[in-house]
Amino acid sequence: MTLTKGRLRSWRPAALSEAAADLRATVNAVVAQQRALTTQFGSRLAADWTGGAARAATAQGARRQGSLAAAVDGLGACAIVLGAAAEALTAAQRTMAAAQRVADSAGLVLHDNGSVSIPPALLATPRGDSYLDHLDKAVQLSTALARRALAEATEADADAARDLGRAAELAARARKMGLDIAAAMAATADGAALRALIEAGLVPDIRLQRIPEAARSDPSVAAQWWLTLSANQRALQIRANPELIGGLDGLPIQARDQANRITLAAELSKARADYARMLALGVNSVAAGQRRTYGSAEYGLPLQALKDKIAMLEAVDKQLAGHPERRLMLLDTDVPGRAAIAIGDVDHADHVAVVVPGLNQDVTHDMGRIVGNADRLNKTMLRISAASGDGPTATIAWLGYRTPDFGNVASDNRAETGAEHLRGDLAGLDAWRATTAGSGQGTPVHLTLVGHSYGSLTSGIAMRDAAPVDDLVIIGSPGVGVNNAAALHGVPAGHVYVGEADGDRVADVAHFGTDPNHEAFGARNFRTDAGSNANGEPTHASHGHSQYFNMHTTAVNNMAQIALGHPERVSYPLPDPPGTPASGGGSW
Amino acid sequence: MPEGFAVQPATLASAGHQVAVAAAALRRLRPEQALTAAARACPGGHLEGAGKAAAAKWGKSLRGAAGDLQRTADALSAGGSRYERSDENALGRRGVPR
Repeated sequence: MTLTKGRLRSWRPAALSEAAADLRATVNAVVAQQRALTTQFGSRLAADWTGGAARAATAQGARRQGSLAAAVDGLGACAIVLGAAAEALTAAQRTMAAAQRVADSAGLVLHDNGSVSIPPALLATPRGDSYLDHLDKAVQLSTALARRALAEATEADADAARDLGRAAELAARARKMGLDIAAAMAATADGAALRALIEAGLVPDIRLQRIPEAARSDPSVAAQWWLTLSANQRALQIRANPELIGGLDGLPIQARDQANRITLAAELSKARADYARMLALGVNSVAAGQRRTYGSAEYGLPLQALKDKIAMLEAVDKQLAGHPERRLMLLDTDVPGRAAIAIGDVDHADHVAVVVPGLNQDVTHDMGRIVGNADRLNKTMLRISAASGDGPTATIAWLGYRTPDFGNVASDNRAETGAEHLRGDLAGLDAWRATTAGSGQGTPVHLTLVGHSYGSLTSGIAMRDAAPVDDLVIIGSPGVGVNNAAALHGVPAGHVYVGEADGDRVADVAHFGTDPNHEAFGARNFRTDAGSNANGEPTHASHGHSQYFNMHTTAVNNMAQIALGHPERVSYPLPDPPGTPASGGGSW
Repeated sequence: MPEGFAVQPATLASAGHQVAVAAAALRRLRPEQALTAAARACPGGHLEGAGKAAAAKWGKSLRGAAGDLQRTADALSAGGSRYERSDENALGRRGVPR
């Protein structure tokens, strides 16, 4: 069978997921009957029945239970296989849809066999080199995506077919080894059943590879390893190790998102159940609702801790619900938690901006606002890109560190720790894109880091060393930990930009080194007052510390142009007239 | 009294009834429907054939298990009634259907 675009489109992964769920229900029903038999042949008859008939009946009861256990094991394995196939085929369909989008946007024709052609009409009139380059790039990318989609779907289909056939053998072996899949399936989570299979040593049968040790510390190794896996193997990894895969730098955001959503759902469900159980036990001694200082001595009272955890996880869940374009790139479920939510397709976007927030931000109370900032920046980038053909964009609301509160904002400890996390995530983003580009399956990414307030210090510290960032934007900054932009070795020279809004007092404190807005710092200042964009449309001024990301402001427009790689379209302040005395920061 | 008579006939009959209930519950399960639906979800693929084959196997397998269980239930129930009529332990003498 040769798989085609049309056939792949006709496949329904959702139906596979439903079939997997139906099989899980069947397994649970068989488990219930297995338990009933245990009751009958165990406690009821064995207690006061002896002799030959009793022995014969007990032996037969054991055989009947054994055959049911085999059914449980086999059907459980089928459910796992179908669930994994559903995820792999969904991913393949998404990749094909991306190929189609790329082709459509350039006016190309994506054929059923995955090849791409340029309609003669496109070349009928003479065009410039840049247009031909753009066309060539679109042909290559859509071809690569379409081929990958077909290859992954073909492999997923073959793997699933083979593994369904092996399920019977798997069942026999599982029973022989005393594997209690029934207990795992009773938990209704595929992941639990799969982990049971792993522990029983049956994993090779469903081709789950061990994660290389080096992949845990080197994003490039992780990216290479992920590329070697089939779509089914990837889906199985995500189900078997969601916490690990969700945080593994170097993996595509799509995969991390799937894994983190599994963790989110499982943790939320568990926390709610624990909370209900504790309430039922009458454990209810702590006042609710107040905002807490995490890590303090009072923290840790169980009921409040559970309430905090539920609130934190629900805050993340709320940002994802109803937003199919968002991806959960990072999730740390220990309160106060860490999270990063991507807006747009980070794995394929040409331009990605990472927004790092500052002081007194936590997942529970502030994720919505941080995502809102990233969302507005992305919308502005998309609007500009639609007109100028800069290609797809994405942004990331990165609350991947525990920000300081007013009690410890004077220290750079949180920024140091945050910078370490940030470097890892940036390296991971770059590694996946560079690796896929190197193997002809993708393109490199133009990466911009946007640090706001204390987040600019975190970003600055992260940029002291080599990093894959193309541009750094600093806004409302109390200092970035260095006295000169040249010390930010992670950013190419001339690619550090600073914005300071009128009335932003935080941006003038220069607590962590030279005020980045000062000429001596050596960054390029951009305007945040009222002005106009590259099309001559009016843009608004930002005031104070928190309006940089407002829509239609000069600030957000300038940040979007930087993130799209267009420094020539950024509006800069006019130079001071000759003879004007130097006035420190905010000279414009 | 023969050793088997320590169990009450009613206990055997009740156990037979419970096992019959379990057999009936198993007979109602239709794993083949889910597997057939999976096969239909990917027309023209390897999964289509494998899903159909798995559907046939597991449907038959589960109904076979239900049938075996029903025979066990019948033997237990029969044993209960024989206890009431005889001092012979019918199950012990004949064994149970395999």
